[in-house]
Formats: sequence, structure tokens, C-alpha cells
Amino acid sequence: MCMNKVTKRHYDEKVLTLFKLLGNKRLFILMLGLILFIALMGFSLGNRGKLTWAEKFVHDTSSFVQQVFYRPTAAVSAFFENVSNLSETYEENERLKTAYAHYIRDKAEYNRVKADNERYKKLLEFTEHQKAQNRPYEYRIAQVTGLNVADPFNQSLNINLGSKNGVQKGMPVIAVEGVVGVISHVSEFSSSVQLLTNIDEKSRAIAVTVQGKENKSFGMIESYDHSNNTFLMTRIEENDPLDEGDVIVSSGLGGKFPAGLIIGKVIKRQVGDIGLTHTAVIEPAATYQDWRELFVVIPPNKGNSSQENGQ
Amino acid sequence: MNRNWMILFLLILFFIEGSVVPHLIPDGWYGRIVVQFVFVVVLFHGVYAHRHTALLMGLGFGLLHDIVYYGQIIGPHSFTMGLLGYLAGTVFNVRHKTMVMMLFVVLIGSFLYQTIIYGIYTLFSLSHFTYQQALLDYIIPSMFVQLIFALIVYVPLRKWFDMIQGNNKKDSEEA
Repeated sequence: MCMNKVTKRHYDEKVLTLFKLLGNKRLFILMLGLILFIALMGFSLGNRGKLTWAEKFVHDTSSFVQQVFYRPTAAVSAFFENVSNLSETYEENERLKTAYAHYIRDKAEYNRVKADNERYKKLLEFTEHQKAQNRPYEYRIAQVTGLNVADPFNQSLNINLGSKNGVQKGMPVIAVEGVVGVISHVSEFSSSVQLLTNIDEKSRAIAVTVQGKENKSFGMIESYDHSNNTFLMTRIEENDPLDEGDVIVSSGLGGKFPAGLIIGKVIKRQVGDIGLTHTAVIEPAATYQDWRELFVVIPPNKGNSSQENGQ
Repeated sequence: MNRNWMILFLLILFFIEGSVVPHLIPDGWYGRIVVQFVFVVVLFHGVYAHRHTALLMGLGFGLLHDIVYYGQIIGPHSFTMGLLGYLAGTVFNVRHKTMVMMLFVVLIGSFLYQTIIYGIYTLFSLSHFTYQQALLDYIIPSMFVQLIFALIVYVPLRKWFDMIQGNNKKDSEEA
């Protein structure tokens, strides 16, 4: 017996270390760990409504700490960017002056149209609910606290606004150029944003239309092509007026994604796989960069709904 | 005491990974360079400290990463980091631990890490790459980023680990 043990130990030492790993106890623990982790992943995969307090605590704390690192770095990197852009300042100034002149002209027009609109609403006896739906969006400015660069399948970033600031799951997040992503999880003082580049067949598609032809055009943004960095817009009708160079905005149909947010520009239009509908290749308006500030879009009937119910 | 400093160092490294590093990556390369600095240090733990330390560090910091950047699932980073830290500690538990060996561990570790993550996301049908695409697109480029980071931190980390081990020996002798 004792002899056996000694030879066994001797044998064990000689055997490759990798082989050792498959010892009974370790194998059992490994299997247990694997099962536990698969269960955890499966559990967290589903459409979870709220996070647990532990997750919120970790998320809030680390977002707060990360912000301390993120802001100075962003400032330094912005400084260098500004220095390298200095030569273009003159041209940019000219462009902005023209844009400002246009804006002043349009503002007068806008005021008149707005007044008219108010009058018509009164004449047509809009209900309170309908009025609330036509109210302009609220934009909350949010500081970016961190970006996920360790996982290409989960492109996300964290911002410093949370449920205490009225942010809810599913709200769009935009940069100045266009839509960046959608709020995916909300903690008390911070939340995480899934970039639009993560959109795939399984997630909810976004109903879109062409700016300026809102009532004639329709399509869905369903997937993102990672090799070309473009969106694919599908379900376009054959006689749709959509053309190359058109600006694509969200249409608000389906109700989840608010209307009028810029998504991208049409590069190419082609006949779809089956031949019944057309597809279009869309170049995203907001490409990835080191954002400092983003805006959370709060649709009027969402952010204040609880207050209105109370009144 | 030294262990606590190491945890603090890893925490700071984790925060830097999400806040400072994105500014260093050129905009066009986002998604092509995957940064796993914390994981590299966990591998160092596996080789120069003990496999159980690496396992715990990997599980802990992986879980932190999973929660802070919670997109679709929680768990893949925790699982992979823990497993690979432990494996590195088991397989490379040899007497002469050279620098070349450590760099080799980092290269292979980074490759395996991305492969396992890819596998997990494919298992839950959340990935949108074929494996060949993933390999060329980000796995191979980011292996070299990890390698460069390992080269930079090798000397200070090695000294640190030697110091910790020296302290441990002293403690055991006194006891």
C-alpha cells in the first residue's frame, strides 16, 4: 500500500504538468466553475430590467473614479488637437459666419411657423397628450467617463448621468454629428451606452427615413458591417425616392426611438438579396472618437411622464 | 501590505485602461486594438507569484470589467482571466523563469484570451465576425500591443515580485 503511494507520487512528478491539471479534484472544480459561469452569462444575457444594488454601486463608484482620469486626459488630447487644427481656423470661421447668417434668416421663419403651429393646434383642439408628444426633446449634457477598449463585441462607454438625472434605458445618446448609441443599463449616478455599431439582427432595428422626404421614404437600420464600417438599411420599397447622398434620420415609427435624429448618409443603393425590396449602404454620421461630452435625448412623453401622472 | 499595493496598482491600471488609453489609440483603429493591460499583469502573477493569486486576481478584475462595461452578458472576462491566470501559473511553474518565457506567455495568453472571448460570444450568438476575420482584424494586432506593454513593465514588475517573495521568505524564517 505504502509502496504503491510512493511509486504513484514518483510517477506524478514525472508526468507533464498539464496532465496533472486533469487530476480529479481540479477537474471537478473546473467543471463546477464552468457551469457556474455559463449559468451567470445565461442569466445576465436576458432582457434584465433593473440592476442589483451591488452592480449599481460598483458601476457608480468606478465611473466616478474613471472620470478623474478621463477629464484631464481628454483636455490634454483636445489641446493637441486644437493646436494641429490652428491653421484651419480662418476657413472654419468663414464657414461659421455663413452658417450664422443662414441661421438668423431661418430663425425668423421658424418663429413665424411656430406661432402658426400653436394657433392651428388650438384650432384643431389637440388633447394634452398630443401636445405633450409634439413638445421638443430635452437634451441632457453628459460627460464620458470611460470607453471599453478590451472587447470588440461589446463596444460601450460610460457616462456620468444616471436614473437620478432622469435617464432611462433605451434613450438615444447623440454627439453633435449624429446618433452615437443607446442607453443600455442605468445606475443611480451613471449609465452605460451601447454604441450603435453593436446593432445586429437580434437587437431592435431602428425605423428610419430620409430628411426632407419624411413621408415618402421608409427603411430599417438592422445591422452594422464591421469590415466596411457602414450600416445596412433594409426594407426600402422599389419606388422609394431615396438617393445617394441623402441624409438618413430616425423616423420615430414604432415609438421606441424618437424621430429626427441624424444617423448617416447614403453611399449606395442596391437591390436586396431577395429582389423584392432595396437596401442601402449608410455611412455613419458620428464615427468613433474620444468624445468628451455627449447628449442624452429625453423624449417629452418619457422623461416627465411620471410627473404628469402625478398632476 | 505589498499585496494591497498590488491591488491598488491593478485598480489604477484598470481605470487608466478605460480612460487614458482610448486617447492614445488613433480614432480609426478603435475596435482593432484590444487593450488588456490588467490581464498581462495577472499573467505575471501566475508566473512569478502563485497560481492561486493569479486565479483570484483574474476572477476579481475580470468581474469588475464585466460589471463596469456591462453590455450584453456578465462573466466572460472574469471566467477567461481567472482560467488563463491559473493555467499560466500551473504550466509555467518552472525554476528558471526567463524574460523570453514571460513574453511568450503574454503572447499566447493574449491569443487564447481573445479566442475564448470570441468563443463565448459565438456560443451566445452575439458575435458578428467569422473567426478568420476576428483573427486578422484584432486578435493578431492586439497581441503585439500586449507584448509591448509586457516589455515596458517587465523590469519593474519583476523587481516588485522578487521583493514580495523576499519578504515572504523572511516572514516564514522569523516564524
